Amino acid sequence: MEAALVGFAILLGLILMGVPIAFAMLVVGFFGATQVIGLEPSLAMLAQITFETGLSYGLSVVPLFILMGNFVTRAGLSEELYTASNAWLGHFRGGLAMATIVACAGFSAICGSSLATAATMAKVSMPSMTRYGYDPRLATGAIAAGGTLGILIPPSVILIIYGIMTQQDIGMLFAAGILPGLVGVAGYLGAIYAITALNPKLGPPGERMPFSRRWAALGRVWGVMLLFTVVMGGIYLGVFTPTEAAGIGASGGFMFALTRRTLNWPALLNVLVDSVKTTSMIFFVLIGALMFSNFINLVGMPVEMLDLVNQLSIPPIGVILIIMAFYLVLGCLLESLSMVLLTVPIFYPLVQSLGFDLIWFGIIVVVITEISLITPPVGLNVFVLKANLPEVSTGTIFRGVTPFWIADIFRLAILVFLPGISLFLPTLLGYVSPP
Amino acid sequence: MGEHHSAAGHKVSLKPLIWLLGLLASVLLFAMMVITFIDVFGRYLFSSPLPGAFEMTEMLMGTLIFAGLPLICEREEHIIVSLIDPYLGAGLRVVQRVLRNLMGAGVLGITSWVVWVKAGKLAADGDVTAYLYLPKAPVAYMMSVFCALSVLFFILNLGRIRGKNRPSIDSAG
Repeated sequence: MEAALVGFAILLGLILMGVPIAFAMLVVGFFGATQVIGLEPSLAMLAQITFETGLSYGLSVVPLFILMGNFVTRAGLSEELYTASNAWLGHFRGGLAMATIVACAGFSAICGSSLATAATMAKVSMPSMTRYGYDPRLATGAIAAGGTLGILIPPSVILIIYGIMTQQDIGMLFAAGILPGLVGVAGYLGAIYAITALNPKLGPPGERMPFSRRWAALGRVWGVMLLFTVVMGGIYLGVFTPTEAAGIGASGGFMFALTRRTLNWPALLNVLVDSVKTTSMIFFVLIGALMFSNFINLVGMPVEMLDLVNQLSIPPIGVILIIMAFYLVLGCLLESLSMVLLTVPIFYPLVQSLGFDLIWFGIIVVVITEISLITPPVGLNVFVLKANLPEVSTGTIFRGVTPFWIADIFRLAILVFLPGISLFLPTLLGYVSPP
Repeated sequence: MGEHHSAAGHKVSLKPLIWLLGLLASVLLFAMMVITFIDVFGRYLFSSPLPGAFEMTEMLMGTLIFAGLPLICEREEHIIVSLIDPYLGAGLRVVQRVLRNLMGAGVLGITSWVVWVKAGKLAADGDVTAYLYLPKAPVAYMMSVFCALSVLFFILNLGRIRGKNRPSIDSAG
């Protein structure tokens, strides 16, 4: 246990000093392992992990879903999503911000990344909110919060990686993410309703559209709906595996981008290179995390943690609450992917042996991670927004995001104490929670 | 901070190499997409899936992830936590970047070496995939070479740090 804690402390130290997370985990994991099993076996382990992670079929779902999101962004579907949700919601008080949340949710359904969702929606929705005189706090808060839906509503890169680490069915994890995602949307809309009720000047209503134009705008998002239906429906009905679904989704995104004439050779190359680079980044963090978690397992930390919990006779739900608190603290320091990769191998054996469902735990981990994306002082979504909107200060965005953060904490509590919300759809699809 | 100066100090331009790497990675990813597409449609429409699509995807995957690595290293686009950066002076920030690149070069240097050794073993054993009998060693060799290329970029970055910070040392804050 001590060895693992020392390793963890060194790791956090290196990360805070600005060492790339992938390398920090790899170095600590590697040197930790040499202390336990010696140099030769550690080198062999490094070679094995690097080679096998690279050659994993299950993980090929990651670049393909990233590619799908990038093609769809290129095709300009994000703008149509916003136009449509705006046509229906824009005339309410705070309606443009509500439309942003709904459009983010729609975009999340074809994009597996929070940062991409926030960055894309910032470009699309900020101009019109500014035009209607929205307070920058409400406008940016809505975009940052809406962006976090990207990793909960399927497809989700983080859920895929969680599923691979814990050997859970990715299709079931995707199904489990839908209802909590909708609860999240409801919470965010409620937050906007509440703050604009307190101060209507923050978000004046937009123009009221006649129903003919509303239906027309909705009709134009058929592309997004079709892609989502085919990809997710295909997985749930067992027509294809998640990897195949991702391949089909990417092909569909490619065709949209082609038919909308948004692709030429340089643009195509750009989309592909960007997708590869994002994938490489994720994979090297993954390889580092695997090395680190091998070290943690070699020194027997998960077993010792279980012993400790038994000795102290902490009730199972107490353990969950302690883990949540740990995530909230860690979320102030780390970005979401590294956080999941680093902690899940440590926690999931414990959570599993306490009799909790791992699909449910995956959703809880993702929601906590989402919250960390908008928590000061790191909150990555906030910094992505800041990079896209240089005229708004970081402080403004953090103030704007606070009501959404509060809504998220409520949602987390609901999801922790009512596992049925997460498990309803998977159960409907035949998932049986292990006893 | 964010902008990338061209590496004015290098006599040989690396642009063609970077472009080639990008092109290679793109072709691999696109091929992966097309293979999956053909496999699924073949299976359902003509009830003949693409033989060995699974193995081809694995091989493409292994190569493309590593092909992307030098591109990230060249631009220093790793996932990092920049929490303390605002509190560092320009001098310390240079030290930080030097250490970051040295460490990256060290880590990937070792990785490149161990994967090369593994590739040698795979080649000696004549290890092939189960269905298409594709040899596994070439993929491992490619991984190793891409890691080595990344080390090269890290070292070139070191040269760039000095050149970049001399004129614009104050604008970094």
